[in-house]
Amino acid sequence: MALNINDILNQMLQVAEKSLGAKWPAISDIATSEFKKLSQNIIDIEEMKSNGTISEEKAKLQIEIQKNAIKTVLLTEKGLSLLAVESAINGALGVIANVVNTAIGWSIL
Amino acid sequence: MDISLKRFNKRNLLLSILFSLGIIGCKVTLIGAYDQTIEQNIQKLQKEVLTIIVKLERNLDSKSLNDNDYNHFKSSYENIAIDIENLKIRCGSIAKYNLVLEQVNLVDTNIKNLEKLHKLGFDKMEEIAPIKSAFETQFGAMINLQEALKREKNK
Repeated sequence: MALNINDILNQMLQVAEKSLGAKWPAISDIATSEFKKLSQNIIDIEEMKSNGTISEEKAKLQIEIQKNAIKTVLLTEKGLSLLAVESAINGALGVIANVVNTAIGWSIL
Repeated sequence: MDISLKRFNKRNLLLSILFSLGIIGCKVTLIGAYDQTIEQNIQKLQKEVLTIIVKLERNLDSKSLNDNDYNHFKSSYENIAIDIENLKIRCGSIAKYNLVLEQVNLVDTNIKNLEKLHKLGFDKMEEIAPIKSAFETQFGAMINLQEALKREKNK
């Protein structure tokens, strides 16, 4: 059965959305365009395999390259979401710094 | 006397809470800080890998298939392997850089996969396109994260 680009893309997007949770909407645009490119690559490799223009060994290595590229994109998305959380926590700490410092009487935050 | 004692106790209580939360005088970091050497080395690696791919494409385009023989590229792969090891050591020496180190390990695996494919031979342009696209995406993602870390550092 031939692969369908939308099926591959939707499956990748579902996994990414599930693992990134609430942070997904902020990074979905970039991730979607990258996943679309990689899905097309997988379709192209599958076509070469079906047409007999590539050996099974080569097709496996090619697919492995695509899988590792997808993992790298997901790690970037994870890093960006960590930075967003970090920024939110430090922003909140900054806001309460004045209140706490005034209450304690020292500049400790 | 009572009022100043109450204020003193209140201050101690607040200090105890802040100490126990570990947030006194420090910034929360969930991912390691930007490192210029790492970003430059990722870009160097990107250039080295894309140089191999572009040479393969040009040789296919000019029908110089013999020039795509793995032996002509062996030293390039060796240099890349050395650069990757240096990059891994640098990433391992920075606190909370596991995520970037994982990305370097993935690109290392992909370069090894490219080398295996190269040993099997490249004789069609259609074989190169998905590889080139995957490496562009992979390096692009790594540089995106580095740029975000740089923006955070410059805030």
